[in-house]
Amino acid sequence: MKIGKTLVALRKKRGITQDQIADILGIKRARYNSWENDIAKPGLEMLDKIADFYGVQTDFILGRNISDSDNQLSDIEEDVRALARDIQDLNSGDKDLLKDLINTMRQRGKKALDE
Amino acid sequence: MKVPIRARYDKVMINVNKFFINEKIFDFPVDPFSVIKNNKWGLITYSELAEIHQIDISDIIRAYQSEDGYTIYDGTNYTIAYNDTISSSGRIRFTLMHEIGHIYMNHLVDFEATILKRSTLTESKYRILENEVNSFARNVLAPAIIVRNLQLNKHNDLVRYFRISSSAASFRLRALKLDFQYLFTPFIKLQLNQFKDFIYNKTNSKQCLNCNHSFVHEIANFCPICGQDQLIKGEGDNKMIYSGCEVDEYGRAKICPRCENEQLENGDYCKICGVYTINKCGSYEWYNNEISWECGTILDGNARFCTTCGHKSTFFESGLLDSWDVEKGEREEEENHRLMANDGVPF
Repeated sequence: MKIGKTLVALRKKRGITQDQIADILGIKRARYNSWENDIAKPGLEMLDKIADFYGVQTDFILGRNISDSDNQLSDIEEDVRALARDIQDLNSGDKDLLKDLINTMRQRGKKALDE
Repeated sequence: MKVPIRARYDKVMINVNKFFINEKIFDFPVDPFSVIKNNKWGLITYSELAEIHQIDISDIIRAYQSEDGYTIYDGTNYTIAYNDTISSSGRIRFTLMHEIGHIYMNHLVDFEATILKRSTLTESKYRILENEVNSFARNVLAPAIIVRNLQLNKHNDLVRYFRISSSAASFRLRALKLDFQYLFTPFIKLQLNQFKDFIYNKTNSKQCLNCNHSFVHEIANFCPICGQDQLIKGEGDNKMIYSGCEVDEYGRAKICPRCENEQLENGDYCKICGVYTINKCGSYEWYNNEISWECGTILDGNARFCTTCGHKSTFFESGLLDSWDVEKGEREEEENHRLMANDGVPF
């Protein structure tokens, strides 16, 4: 199980450095770096701390069940684009609502073309 | 394509000019609603969405992460959602122009980071794209070059000329210097040419303090409606435009103002009723059955007096136009009737 890429993505999205996240977790940068490079793996306690800090489920970091639980936007069609930032931060109810709103918008866009 | 590391204000200016040409904008305030309609983009309000999904406006704001607006591109068309519950119409106009900016800047096509399913847009990338379209919106709604040309430096003037919100006006003034860095000579030439009528009308607009008549004239000394010389520059708030006959650039009526005869091609008098069909200054001197001197100023179709010397106009002398106080009185009475009717007050 490789979690390095997910850790990098989460950290970049927050716009912080390895040093900063290591400080937050109370460990040395080198140790944290080894996780991002999939040389070593964090223990359960650290995993919990990381998930808390980024506000995600540990399953998300572990790459489990992402398609059904944490990424409800996956059934939105590939073509749909919008200027949405940090959409993973939305709770699952808001994600569902966003999907509904977008579907309504798409219908409106289709109607406008036909008029 | 990757999101740029800083806002491309040069590209914004190119798109601003493209917008003025494509959308045939010659006048202000710019109307974003008609632009959206002409392009057949979808438009929906937060209120409609709330009604359809049986939710609150605050739910929509949370899901969109935006209080003002949201735009999607689904591969075939763009659709804009905007918050219509915001009380400032200037702010709504800015929001719509901001969203139109995303479309004109091609953000939703060029950047893979906007694919919603993956959504890899970070806060900092988002800011850069937002800065680009905020610049687009302010330069379309209130172009820096027009602001400078008309020497507008009070933010109330900007609010009045361009119908933007007061905070957008303050920002417009603060960003003038920034915007001029990216306004190159061809852009300036294009905009000055595109908006020359607007600039002319704004620089030469005058209002009469006596009868409130508002008109555009380069060198008027007297009000063409009441003949007084209490003219001030600019447009007042309670402006009034008095009625008159339609005339061409030589002051000649298109239809006879007395008998409505439409054949006025030959001669200066109507061949049906004999009225003089040119509206000009009525001040002249006769000598030996000839006109020896005349003021000769050609006047607008609603002019009762000469703008140069204040003498009565030919139309007014022929009784074709009502005196200004009569017309003003009638209009006020109509207005009162209308207000009463609207209130449902019985007589």
